[in-house]
Amino acid sequence: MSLVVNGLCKTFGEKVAVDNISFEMRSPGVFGLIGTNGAGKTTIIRMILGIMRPDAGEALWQGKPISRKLLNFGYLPEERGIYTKNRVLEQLVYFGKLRGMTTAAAKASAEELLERFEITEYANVTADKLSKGNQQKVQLAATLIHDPELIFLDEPFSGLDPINAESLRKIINKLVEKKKYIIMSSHQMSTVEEYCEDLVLLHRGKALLSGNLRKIKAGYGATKLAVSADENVLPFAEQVGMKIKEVRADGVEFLLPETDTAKKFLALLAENSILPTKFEILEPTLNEIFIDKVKDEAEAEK
Amino acid sequence: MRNIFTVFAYTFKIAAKKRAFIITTAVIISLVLILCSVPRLLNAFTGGDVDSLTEGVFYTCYYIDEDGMIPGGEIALYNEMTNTFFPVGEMSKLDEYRAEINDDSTVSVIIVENVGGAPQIRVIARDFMSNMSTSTGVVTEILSREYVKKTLAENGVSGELIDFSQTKLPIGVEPERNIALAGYTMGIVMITLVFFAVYYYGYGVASSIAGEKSSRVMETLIVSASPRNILIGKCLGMGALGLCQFGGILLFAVVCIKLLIPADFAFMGESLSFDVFTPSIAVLTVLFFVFGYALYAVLNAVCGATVNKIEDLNTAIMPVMWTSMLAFYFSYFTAIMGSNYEYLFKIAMYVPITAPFIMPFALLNGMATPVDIIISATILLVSIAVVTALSVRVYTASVMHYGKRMKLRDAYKAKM
Repeated sequence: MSLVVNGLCKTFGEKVAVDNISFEMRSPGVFGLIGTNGAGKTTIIRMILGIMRPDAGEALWQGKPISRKLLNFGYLPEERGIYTKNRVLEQLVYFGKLRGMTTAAAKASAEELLERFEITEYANVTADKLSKGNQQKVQLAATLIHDPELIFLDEPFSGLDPINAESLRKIINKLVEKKKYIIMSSHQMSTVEEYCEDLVLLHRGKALLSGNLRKIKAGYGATKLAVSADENVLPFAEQVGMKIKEVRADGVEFLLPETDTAKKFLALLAENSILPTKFEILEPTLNEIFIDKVKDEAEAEK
Repeated sequence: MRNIFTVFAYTFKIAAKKRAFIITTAVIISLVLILCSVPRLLNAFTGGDVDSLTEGVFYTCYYIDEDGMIPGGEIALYNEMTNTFFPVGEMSKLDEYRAEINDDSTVSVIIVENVGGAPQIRVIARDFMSNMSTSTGVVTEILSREYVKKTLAENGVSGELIDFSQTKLPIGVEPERNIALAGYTMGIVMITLVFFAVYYYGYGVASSIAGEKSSRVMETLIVSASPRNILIGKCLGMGALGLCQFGGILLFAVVCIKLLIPADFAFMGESLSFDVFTPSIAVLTVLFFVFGYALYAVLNAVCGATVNKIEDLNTAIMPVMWTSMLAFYFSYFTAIMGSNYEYLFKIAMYVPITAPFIMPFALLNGMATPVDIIISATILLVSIAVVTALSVRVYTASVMHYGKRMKLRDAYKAKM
């Protein structure tokens, strides 16, 4: 099974919302659509789902365009949308039936999901009585009620408190274990880094970067060194030509010109009988890569 | 098709459970029950016979003719207006009569004065609504006749000739069309009921769609069901609910009338009868109600889809509201003007926005020929199909549009 997105374009009036975006997802897991607000993530998802017609390009699931007739996909929209005045179980059954399920199958699936999400006690309560986190779980239950193979999660963590975010993490992990194909959009880079093996980094509708996250990071190489020690290590860092990136309460983070510099620095510390409590070579975070790429883009535009 | 039914069933179920719907139904049913119980309640309070209600109220009218311009005028009046007493009054007590008139709307005064040797009649009543149970036209006719008789007698004309001069030629009306008061009244009632149903349930459709859009449920729905199916399912759901409520209330009213109102009860001299609703007229009336509802429902649905906030809904549905009001008033005035304006009836029957209102009236009064019915229904059906196709297009474009409210023209032109 595979999702292939090829040359999607969309303009709204003068504004180019999505500019020739292509990517492929050939194995189960989480694929990230990363970018700031207005980068075009939701528009891409809407075009893939067929809610919005692209100006150019196509999206194929198992070689066929995704449509409402293809019922094995689920979609969690960015804007949470459930019937606030209707009972939770009642509306989940409705969403299930719209996905082609029988009433009995939809009810059984809804009850199972409510149990899995630990909100069974709210089955016969109107949704407006639920907390935001629990409403989010109901929305996710509506997305997963028909056990889809392909799942779109548009900013799933936005607005969730740490407890509900953790709960959602567990749910996503379960989906990954079940070999589901998940497209997740987010502007929170750290969240995406946890899940995404492959991603597209978007900025103003354009793909700044795309591919396997590990490979992307490997391409950047080790760029930082985090050191903690009881003694002052700054003079030794200067000797090997490392500059301070950030001083933290638990130590210092240095910019690493090359991997060998770290070896030299460690040898120097050993010579001076300094035992670091922390010595960690760090890859750049997704956030740093993103900022770096945006800067490059801005400079190229100049 | 399956999704249309799913949306239909859910819309019906949820709307039927809404507090507003339950309260409205309960209030209307209570009102129907109270109205139908009025004759029996009055009977219980007055201790009289219910049938006496049909006999009307008695009036008092002081007759003042101090110059003797029309002697015996009060007797002539009483002979023809048997529900009114005509005691002879005095000008000196006019202020007392005026005070009495202010306290009691059934009291009035007729003054016959000598103006240049000829009688002039003045009527004093509380207001134009509370007269002597009849029009001044009747009073002047009776008194004029008496005055002519008196004058002819004074001029030596024989009694036979005087009687001959008072001869009234018999007249009978044979209506070419079957407009009876029962059909006319029922027709007017139907125009009003259809308008309220179209307005109320149409608003329900618009409100339901605007609610889904503003709560962003639409984005969840739209990946499962096409906008066309959602639109049709919603309109059908609300329509079926409206038809059930409307039909249920009408049925309840008929049962109440049969059980609570005496068989010989009459209102304004006309007995209440549903005989005008023959099975074919009833079926056609329901059919035109459904057509009318469908036309206005899809228009309301589009208006509902153009708003992002439920607060903007009233502004958005204004064009449809005005259209339905204009159609209603055009149909209403065409109906009350009667069959003298046949061309207006034809226009109202054939124009799709007015046809749902005027057709029940025309059917109840035998004013619609089978050809009229077929033409009207065909035009209405074609219009519904065209409007639905346009509405689906506009709805599809606007339903996923957020931000600044979308103009209908832009929604129509939008690429989907």
